[in-house]
Amino acid sequence: MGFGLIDFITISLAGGLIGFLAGMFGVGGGFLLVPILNIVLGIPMELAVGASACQVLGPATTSLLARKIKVRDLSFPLVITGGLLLGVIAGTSILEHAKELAAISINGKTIIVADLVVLVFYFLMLLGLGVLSLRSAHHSDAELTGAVFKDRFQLPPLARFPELFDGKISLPLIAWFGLGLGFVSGLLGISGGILLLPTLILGLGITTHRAITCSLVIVWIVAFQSTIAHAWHGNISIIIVIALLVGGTVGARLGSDLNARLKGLQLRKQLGWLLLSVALMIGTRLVFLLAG
Amino acid sequence: MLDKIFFIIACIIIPVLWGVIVNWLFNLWQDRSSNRSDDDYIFPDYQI
Repeated sequence: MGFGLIDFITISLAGGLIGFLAGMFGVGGGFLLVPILNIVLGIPMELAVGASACQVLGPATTSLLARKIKVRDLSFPLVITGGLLLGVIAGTSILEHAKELAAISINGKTIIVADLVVLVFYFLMLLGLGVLSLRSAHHSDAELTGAVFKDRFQLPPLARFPELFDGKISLPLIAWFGLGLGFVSGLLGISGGILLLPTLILGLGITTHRAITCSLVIVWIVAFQSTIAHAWHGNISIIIVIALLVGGTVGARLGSDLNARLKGLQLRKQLGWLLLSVALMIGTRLVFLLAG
Repeated sequence: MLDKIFFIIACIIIPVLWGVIVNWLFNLWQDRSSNRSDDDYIFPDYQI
């Protein structure tokens, strides 16, 4: 697939818009990037997923350097890495398998299986997260803090992470969580921050500040593993990645400036509507694909 | 095989290098625009 200057500028502008929204809502933006690259700009699904996974390394590196990560911040992310790695391999393998399948015909229209699989997963994930975000918009940050998963699933062996929370946590639970996160990242090309933060705060009871630092380290590890896996399968176009890095950095900076002026509840509500809007866009695309 | 390995390395190095340069530029800009120490600066959480 060849790219001219116009394509480069268009992708940069799209990256800038997504970076702005991502900066405004404090998320990575991968969940917006893949649908927009594929549905709006017509970039093949596997390249959209690969570019999304790879470009995350740029902003994640900036953020890690700016936050001055300490050794104690690495213990939990390193424990989760094993599960993440297997999940990323599984996710990219499914995408690769779907890519190699012959296109199927529904209602006389040819459908690429990889597009269908990724869009269905995206639709379900964004719908769920959108509803969750709108529901949580009615509660303050203090009301949302909990440790639902940590306290309920005490499957041995257990481990302590005193820098993150009190008490013990099940190691298999961490590994399975990493497996799921890696799978979603490998298949959909997202860094996983949008799934990580609610899980760390609501599921494990980690304070928001610590959860953000922990999430950043995990996002970098996921992006690193995912980039290797997608590059191995030839799913990455360096030109698309550079275009996204250029536009995304400027957009993210502008968006994060706006973020500082908005309240948490207001942001969660707007993020919820944004997620549902993207889910609607994907749902419409799926209807057109399947109905012909 | 060697091409593939170089491609993988390039895919990792390009975004990481970009991230390092952006961080360096922001620090440079921050140093020039104010006299605040590095610890006072709260970096935006836009990459979560």
